[in-house]
Amino acid sequence: MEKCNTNYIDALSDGNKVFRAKLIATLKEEFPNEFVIYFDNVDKDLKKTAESVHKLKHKIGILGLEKSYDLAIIYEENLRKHSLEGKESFELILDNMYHFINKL
Amino acid sequence: MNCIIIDDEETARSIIAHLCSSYDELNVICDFSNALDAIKFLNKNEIDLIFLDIHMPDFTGFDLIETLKNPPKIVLTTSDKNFAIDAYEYDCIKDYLVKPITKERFAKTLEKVNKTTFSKKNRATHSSSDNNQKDNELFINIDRRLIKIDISSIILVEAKGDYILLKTEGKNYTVHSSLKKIHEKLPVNLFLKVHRSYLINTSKIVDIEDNSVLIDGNVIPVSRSNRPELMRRLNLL
Repeated sequence: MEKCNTNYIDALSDGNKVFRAKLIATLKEEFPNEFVIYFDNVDKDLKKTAESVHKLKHKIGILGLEKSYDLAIIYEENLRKHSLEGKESFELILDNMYHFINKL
Repeated sequence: MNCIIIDDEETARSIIAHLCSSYDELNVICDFSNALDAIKFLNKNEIDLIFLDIHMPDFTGFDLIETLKNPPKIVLTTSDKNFAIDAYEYDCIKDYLVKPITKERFAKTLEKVNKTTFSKKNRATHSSSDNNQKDNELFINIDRRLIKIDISSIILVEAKGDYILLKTEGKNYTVHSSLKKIHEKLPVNLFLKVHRSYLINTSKIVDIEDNSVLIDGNVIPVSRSNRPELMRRLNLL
């Protein structure tokens, strides 16, 4: 499983500790909501699930998960074609992110 | 340049605002989490530039553009790597940024935004063949000699530590410089950084595979983050 990292956040912050802390705080606040919305929708409304995945892709990228980002793209496309293929892998990505963000 | 940010994701708004803060010419007036509030604001205020998320619930970025009579310059932001074509049906759209947005890519977007302003301002006053001449040439310093290179003959530039390898149609040159420095000297519409170690002349591309381009017999890697921009530049059938 790919490991989350803060490389993007660090590069963007470029030593600006205030911005880094603010960005992490925003991630910690926003991600759990998006996580819950995803699980509320999955298996019920594939269109809304695709929207959730689309939104979560940004945070997958922010945490440096390049392969996971590609998996999310495929999963989102599948959802738009009314298929749940890729669900299991995507949910492992979310778990991975959840644990990492909690420790930030 | 007064600008606003429209994105339903707070993380994205925060990142774009931070990127803007590095540029004196950009003044972020406010940001909006939905398009409707932004439209109300735009109806009462004059803005030069909008960073606009395409994918928002209920009202998309394109819906917003359609509602504006005289849209300002717009830079689209998206999490769709494969997104490209639709954006250029609108004159007001100057570029699009794939999230997560890097500093380097953001800088290029500003170049594009500024360039359109600059070129419009100068079209009437400059006919200048002199400038065209300068635009077509680049002087490189090799062993204390300044050698003139025809920019259109450059095939690619490769970073090699403190040096760059300049491959042209006639000859290769190793120059003490950086990829960043030479990139600033080359026309943005012709040259593209496809990988952290490579700049290519897009007019010389022979073919493209998933993550590489063939250019004058050289197979050059294309990084994932640079691929969307490369694809955007192609005249795809």
